[in-house]
This record gives sequence, structure tokens and C-alpha cells, in this order.
Amino acid sequence: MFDSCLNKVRNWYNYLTLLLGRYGMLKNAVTLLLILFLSVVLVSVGCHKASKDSQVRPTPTQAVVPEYIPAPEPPSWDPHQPRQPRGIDILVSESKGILQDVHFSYDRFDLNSDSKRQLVQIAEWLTQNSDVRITIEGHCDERGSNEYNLALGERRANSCESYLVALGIDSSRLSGISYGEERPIDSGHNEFAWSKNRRCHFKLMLY
Amino acid sequence: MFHDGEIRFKKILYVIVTSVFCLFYSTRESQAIDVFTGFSSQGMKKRILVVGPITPKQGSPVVEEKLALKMKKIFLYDLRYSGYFDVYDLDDLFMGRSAPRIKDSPSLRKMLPQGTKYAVGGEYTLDESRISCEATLLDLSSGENVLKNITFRTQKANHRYLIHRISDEIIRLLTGEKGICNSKIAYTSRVMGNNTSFNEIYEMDYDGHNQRRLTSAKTISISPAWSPDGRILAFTSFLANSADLYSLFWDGSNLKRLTSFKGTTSAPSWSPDGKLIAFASSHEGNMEIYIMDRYGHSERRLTHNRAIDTSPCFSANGRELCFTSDRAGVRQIFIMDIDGANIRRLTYNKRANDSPSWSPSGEHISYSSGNGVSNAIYITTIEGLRTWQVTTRGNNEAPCWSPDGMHLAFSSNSSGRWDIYTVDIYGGKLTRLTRNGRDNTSPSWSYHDVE
Repeated sequence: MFDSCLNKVRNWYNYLTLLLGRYGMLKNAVTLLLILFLSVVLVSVGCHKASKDSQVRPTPTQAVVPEYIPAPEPPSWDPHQPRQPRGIDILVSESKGILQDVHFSYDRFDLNSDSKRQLVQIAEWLTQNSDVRITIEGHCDERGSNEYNLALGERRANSCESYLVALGIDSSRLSGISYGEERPIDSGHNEFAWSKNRRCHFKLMLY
Repeated sequence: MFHDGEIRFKKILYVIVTSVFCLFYSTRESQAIDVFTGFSSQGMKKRILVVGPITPKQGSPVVEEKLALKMKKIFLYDLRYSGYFDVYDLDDLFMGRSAPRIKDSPSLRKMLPQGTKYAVGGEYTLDESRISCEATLLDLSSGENVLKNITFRTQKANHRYLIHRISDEIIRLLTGEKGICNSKIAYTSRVMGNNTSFNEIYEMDYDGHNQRRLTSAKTISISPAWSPDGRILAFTSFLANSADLYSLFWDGSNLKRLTSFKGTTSAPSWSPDGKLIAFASSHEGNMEIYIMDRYGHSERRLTHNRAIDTSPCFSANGRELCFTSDRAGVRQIFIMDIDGANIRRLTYNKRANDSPSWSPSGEHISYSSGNGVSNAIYITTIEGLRTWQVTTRGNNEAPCWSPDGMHLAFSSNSSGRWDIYTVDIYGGKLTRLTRNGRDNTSPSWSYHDVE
């Protein structure tokens, strides 16, 4: 069986050399060309495989270009009237509903569509309460070194901050910090706990 | 077909097929990994030592059997752990009968294992507050006491330190090497509070005893790094509500703030001459590696890449740094010169590789590698040609070499909690150092030449 394959290949090879021999190419040159051609094919296949294997990570600037989001609702108060300052207690209780954690995939800092929706909600609330400032905390699950997770947490906080800025919130109202893996909300050692810990947490900055 | 033509054709086919194989496999990871059973396949010949009872010296005001037994146990641990000796307990050999004092050498030699070279013993003098020990290191062939009647004295509470000093002296006399019996390990311990947790920096003796808290800021204090002489501890802390570098004296005093950058600053690593500290900081917009002097001044940026670059570690000769970077996709270990030039990659695998630590011999780098759920500690040679996997269970991180390069400390959660473990490089034996009910991570190990 192998022999018949060998014969087929040999016949094909002989045919090729005969054909190219007509154009004055030597048998040796044909062989050399064949090897070169195969090498190029395999190297490019190998390179393609290798580049597919390494994760393509979004660079920091890429991660936060927002999709088109319709402008938030116009403010519900008359901008020409002086606005009554809203009580701290109202702000705090409202914030509990609005400032929900935004979650991330393992070793990623890009925003998924749920996160973007939450951030749009936060941006709306911040636009309605233009005195409010918030802190954006970046957190990670316990996997990976403490140092790397401090950096990853910071990337996550920056993702949220950039998105809010792109939605029109002034960056002076946003303050980012990373706690890496040091402040988990669930100290379990399983995916359920880890998925809760991979988050950005928002805190009202009260004077 | 002519016979010649057939042979020629087959030759060409074999050439093509071989080159196909070579090209195909050269584009894949082809790094063989050995399982770690220690480097002792080179056959490090261990000297045989026997440790006899520590007895009270004639005229000692106080006699304490228990203390004497403890001291003998410390000798046994120190000399065994050093990795240079096969150590026997004389009391075991006599199995309940009272073992003779080491000084009575002729009757001893008959009872000892074949090839025993030395016998260790001591006589202590104890009063209410002080203890002294006159140690004996008997060369059994010559009958000579190699320790030449050196007596060590200290406060009674420091009896562990006393024995460690004698063990270091024995190691020095018999091997010419500096012992680590008096070295210290600093580490981070997480304390669970009511609604939050905080991390404090602790230190302990190299055998896990005398665990002492060094910080009390009730905030996040992590990644401790001893200066090479063991006098100063640098670490990362959120004392001022952002991650910055601080330093402390070895006794916990003299807290100083070393950096006040925007963003996150962490991962301190000392140069071997103690003059420079490498660290990671994002104050210019991205996590990069910097170098500064030990006082926190004259910082210089080393990496210029949009990736996360962190966890720097100086080489043994102070001329290079290894570090973690995700510039190639998933985290890998890289090496660069101390000025940031000549960046080259050390690890080529599909796992996340992090926290590199350069051995004191300069020949190996240890790091943590895995998919996050079950990271293992690996050791590789500097060119990356040979690699050993050191741990097989649980999640293992943050390796750190002992100052003599004979052991590796790391954190592992294989017991269910995070604790500090060590592995001996020449035998592969694991020792657990912490068992305090807290999560203990990030060891830093150094000589403690301060007393």
C-alpha cells in the first residue's frame, strides 16, 4: 500500500521533472525548488498556528472605544432654574441601586455588553447629579501574583473610567484605584467566588 | 524506472520528509520538563553526623531537662535542613538507654553508624535569665574538638538563636559555607476583619518559629523584600490610600515612605549590593519597571512597552533583571540588562508565567507557572534549556531562594489555606513553615547579620 503511494508520488515527480525539463531546468534545480516551496508552505502554516495560539490582547487604548450609545435623556429639571441641592441620604440610597459592580472575564480588562449598559446607567445618574464624584476600584480574583493583579485591577478601573469619560463625564469626578486581589468579596477558592471578585466597584466620594 | 533513479528518488523523498518534520516541530513548544527530585543526581556526598544529648555543665544553677531536649532538637533540625549532612540522634541509637556524653568518645565509636565522622554535643549553664552553651564538635577519627571550647551566651528566651549560631559555626567549619540557621523569612499574612480583610507584614525564623508582626497599619501591606544584609525591609502598602513603597528596620521601627507616585507602585526588589531597588509603577500611565536608589530617589525607567511589566528581580551579580511581562500575549518571564537594554525572553509556553526569582548562584531562575487554578513552581537554567517542575499539588506562587541557594521558599494552598513552604534543592524535600490559621504568602528570605 505504501509502495503504491510511493509509486504515485514518484510518477508525479518524474512527470514534473520531465515537464520542467522541457523548459531547460535541471533535475537538481527542480528538487531544490520543490523543497523550498514545501518549506515556505510549512513555515507559513507554522507561523499562522503560532500566532493563533498567543492571545491577542487589546492594547489599553483599544479596549475602551465605545460603540454608538444614544445620548442620555435630557435632564428632568429646568436648567435655567437654580437646582435644589439633593440631600446626601437620597444620593447615598440612590447610589446603592445605580453603582452596581461591573464584572470581567479571567485575565481580561475589556468591557462586555452588560458592563457597558451598567456604565451607561451610571453615567446618566452622574450627569443628573453633577456634584457627585466617585471612586472606581479595580479588583481581581486570587489567581496570579499579587503584583500582576495590582496592574490588572488598574487596567479594569481604567477601562471603566475611560468609558465614563467617553460618555461625557468629566474625569475630575472620577478617581481610579486598584486593590488587585487583596480585597475579595468572596474568599472561596472556586469559579463562583472568583467571578464575583473580578470586578470594578464604585464608591460615592462624600466630602 | 532505472534502479539508480529509484534510489535517488527515495533519497530525495527522505530529505523532504525530514525537513517537513523539522519545520513542523520547530514551530511548536518543544521544551521537555523534568519532574523535580532534587539536583542530587550529581551525587552530593553527605557527611555523617551524630548529635548527642545536651547536658548541664557541672555547677549550672538551674537544670532544665525540657530545655536541653529542645536545644538538641534545634541542632538536629538545623544540621539536617542545611542539606550537607546525614544526621543521627544519639538518643535514638541508644533506644531509651541513657546515651553517653559526647566527650566520652572511645565507647561511642562502636555504637555509631558506619562512616560517622563527627559527633555534636554541648553543655549548658543556665540561671534565671541567661543561658550559655559550651558546644562540642568531636572529630571521631582524631578525637579533637573542632569547636575549640567556644562558648555562646544569650538571654534565656533567645535559646533558639544560641543553637542556630552554633549550628552555623559547625556548618562553616565543616563545609566552608555560610549557614542559614540564623536567617529570616518575611511574608504577608491576611487577617480577616469584620467586613473587610487586611494584610500585614510578618517575619519568622527560617524554621518557622518566632513569627512576629512588623506592621500594624490595618491596611493592605504586601510584597515584602529584605535588603541583602537583612537590616531593612521594603514593602508595598496602602497606608496613604494608594499603593506605594515603604521601608522598615528589621525590628519593625523607623517606618519610611519611599515613593509617592500617582497610580500603583509595588514589587520592590533589592540589588545584591543593597544600593538600588527595582520596582513596578504605573505613574506614567502604564505598569512599567523602574530602578531607584535605596532612599527612594533618582528613579529611572527601564521598560517602554504598552504591556504590563512587573515583578522585577535582580540577578545574583546585579547586572541584569528578570521580570514578568505580558507583551507576548500571556504572561512570560523576560530578562534585561540593568539599563533596560537587551530584553530577551526566557519562557516559551502557553501557561501564565509570573514572579521570577534569580538564584544566588546566578544559574537558575525560579517562577510560578500555570493556568491559574493549579500553578506550580518551576526552576529553569538561565538559557532556558532545562526546566524542572518543583510542586505537584495545589496552587503555588511567589518563589524565593534561600540566601545560600540551597532551598526555595514559596506560598502554597495545597493544605486548603495559603502557607509558606520550602523545598530543598538537592533532595526535593518539602517543609511547611506556617500553620497559624491565616493566609500566608509572598516569602522573602535573607541573612540576618544584625546582632
